[in-house]
Amino acid sequence: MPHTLPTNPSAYHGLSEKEALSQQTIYGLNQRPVTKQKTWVHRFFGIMAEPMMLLLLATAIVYFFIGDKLETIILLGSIIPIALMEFFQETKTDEAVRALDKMLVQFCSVYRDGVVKKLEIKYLVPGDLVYLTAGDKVPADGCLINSPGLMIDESMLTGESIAVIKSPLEKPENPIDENKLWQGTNVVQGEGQLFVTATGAHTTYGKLGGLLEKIIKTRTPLQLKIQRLVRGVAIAAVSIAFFVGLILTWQQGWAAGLLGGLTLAMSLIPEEFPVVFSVFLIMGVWRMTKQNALVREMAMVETLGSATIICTDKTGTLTEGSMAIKSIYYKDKLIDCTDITKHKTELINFIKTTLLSLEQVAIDPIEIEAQSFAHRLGIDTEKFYREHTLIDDLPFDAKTKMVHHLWKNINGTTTQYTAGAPEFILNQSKMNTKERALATAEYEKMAEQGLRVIGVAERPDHRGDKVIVADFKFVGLLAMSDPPRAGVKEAVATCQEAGIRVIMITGDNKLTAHSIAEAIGLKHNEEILTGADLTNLSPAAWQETVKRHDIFTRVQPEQKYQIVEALQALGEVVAMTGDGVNDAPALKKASIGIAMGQKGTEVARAAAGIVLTDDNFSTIVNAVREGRRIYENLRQAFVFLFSFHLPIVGLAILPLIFKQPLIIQKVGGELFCKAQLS
Amino acid sequence: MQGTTILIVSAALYLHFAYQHNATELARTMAFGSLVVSQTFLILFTREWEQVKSNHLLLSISTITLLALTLIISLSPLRQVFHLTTLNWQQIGGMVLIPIATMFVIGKIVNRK
Repeated sequence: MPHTLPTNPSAYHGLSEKEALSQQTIYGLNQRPVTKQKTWVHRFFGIMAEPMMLLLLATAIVYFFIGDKLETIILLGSIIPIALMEFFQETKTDEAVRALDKMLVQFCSVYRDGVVKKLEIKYLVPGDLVYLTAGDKVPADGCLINSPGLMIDESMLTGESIAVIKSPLEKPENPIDENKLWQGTNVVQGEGQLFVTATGAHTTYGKLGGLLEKIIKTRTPLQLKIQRLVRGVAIAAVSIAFFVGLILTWQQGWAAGLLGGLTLAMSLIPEEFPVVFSVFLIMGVWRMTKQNALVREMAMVETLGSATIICTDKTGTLTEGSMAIKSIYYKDKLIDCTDITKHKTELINFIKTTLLSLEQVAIDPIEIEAQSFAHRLGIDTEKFYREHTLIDDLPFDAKTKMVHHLWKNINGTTTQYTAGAPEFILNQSKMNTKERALATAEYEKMAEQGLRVIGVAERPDHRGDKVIVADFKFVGLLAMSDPPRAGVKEAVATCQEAGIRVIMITGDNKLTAHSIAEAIGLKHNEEILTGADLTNLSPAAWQETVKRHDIFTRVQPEQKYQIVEALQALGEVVAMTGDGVNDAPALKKASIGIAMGQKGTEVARAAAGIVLTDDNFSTIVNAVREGRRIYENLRQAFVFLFSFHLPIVGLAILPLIFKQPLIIQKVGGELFCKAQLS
Repeated sequence: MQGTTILIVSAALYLHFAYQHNATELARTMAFGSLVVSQTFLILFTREWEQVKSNHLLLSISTITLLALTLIISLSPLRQVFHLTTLNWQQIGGMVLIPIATMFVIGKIVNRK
């Protein structure tokens, strides 16, 4: 639903309230179509439709018709608590997930009748003009107008952790990607106005949500096994009962044959299976909740235990999702920042210059880390900024890729401080050839390691009260990286020891992905593929590719889906983690979709079977461990149940062979024995 | 293997009493009792002793099961519901000790695997 862009963006002042209301009648509210909540009746019937519950119910009905009220009451008595436990567990989990969604209600500043107003984002309509500044979430799809440029974190949509630069619309008849902003992304630097072109289900975010509805979820391995088991047991029970009934009819007449056959069938049907199965899964869900994993589908608990591959996002799951200063290049020297006690004076001098070149109100991850690093060095940043007086500034500009601040220092001198893309800083700095070559070589080395680098420069003894973008004095380079989360290295090792392959799928570049893979000890093929390498692959080529490669970078949303599909075609049980809107189709397709509760989107959580409340990869490993424990417990329980039913079958048939009366009577020991197994 | 062994023990006791003593209810009681005892001790013997000691729920359920078996065999109304009969000390010994000894061996084999 592209809305016509204004022919003269600078003269556009937004809609009037009346126009907005009329637009709302046409386009509706700016929210994802509300998915129909399951009623308690639907939920209850969903639980009762499970093969195990049907088996239990069918057995109770047969007992009822042969007149055995005690067995009927006992069986119904075991169905109701199980169904209620499942029902309340599902309801509780859904409520927790809905509570996470409610936390996302946000407001924006919108121009209505020429005045800026605070408005809940759901009331935005196409044609609205929204004021955006650092820290805002883009509330709808649209184009940037009246701005020098913005830095946007699009990781929610593309998976790329490094912010991208957006420039204002110049040709309304031909907007390019660099002018477009998407709903759900975050402004990290700069300010500007957004002309809203699409809202609600018509945004990229909304469309992906709709796509999910079309993905058909396959049954989990456990559900398939149960289906086979129930079918097998039912066929065996009916065949044996029929055979025994036939012999008894021949020996003692039709009445004895019918009753004997039915009694045996009831003895053979393992009606305690659903009880054991449901109790184990409910206990698993409860334990996983305590370990920060909200399980939305009970069968996921066991499926997790069978996972053979974990496809994981990098940013925020394997890594902290925030920048940490790794090293600085200052006065022709590279200083490692892991130990701040060494070179403390140089570090303090450099970080003070950096603080004055960046925004005082920290929103961009770089600004946040710079201030945090300053605190670690013992600098009181608030006091430090109070000692300086801001004279002028030039916000982030998409063309120059720099920010500038002109400060009056404590000693009365005036200095301009600048930070930005190293190549631009180096270009504008006065340096001798040797200094420039050294700094350029260092910058290239940092970039090769996948580090994010910014250049810092100054203009001492600045004359005048305006920023000047020329003749800088180069100060140094600041290299940052998103470090691995604590415990991830051990968790990856645990997975690999347990035979679970970990695949990293990220929107970031090859270098960054490779450096993180090395840091966390992820076993990988050195040939790292990008999204471009994956275009136009045949299904067979997809399977070969996912078999041989472990790191995929710059991956498109549909390619994530194709990776999962190819792995599943190879017979793998795939757990897929994700947070962004782009991850939702793959989350839904995967055997186990795991969404991030903290930084994840509503769409991702809706698509996943498990929601992590702490966004930590280690939690996935704990959940897999729990899943395996439950799987093993279920396996053992079923072995015991079979070892119980086999003697019953034998003891039912043997007397017939030896022409003796039946051992198994209707109220025989069966129930008695089962009580201890359950 | 566990199921087959339990079947052999229970069937052997059943057939022995059905043929040797020509007593159907006695044979059924022996088979039923040995089935319950075998199942109870199979669960206990296929676990590590430390694991059994710390699992109070398992110990409680096993005790209740054996207690219920005793009541079914010793209380006349219950005995009639289950079509069972009374046992002498020698028969009780056979019904309890043969399954326990067999399950002990099975437990050792399973744990070694």
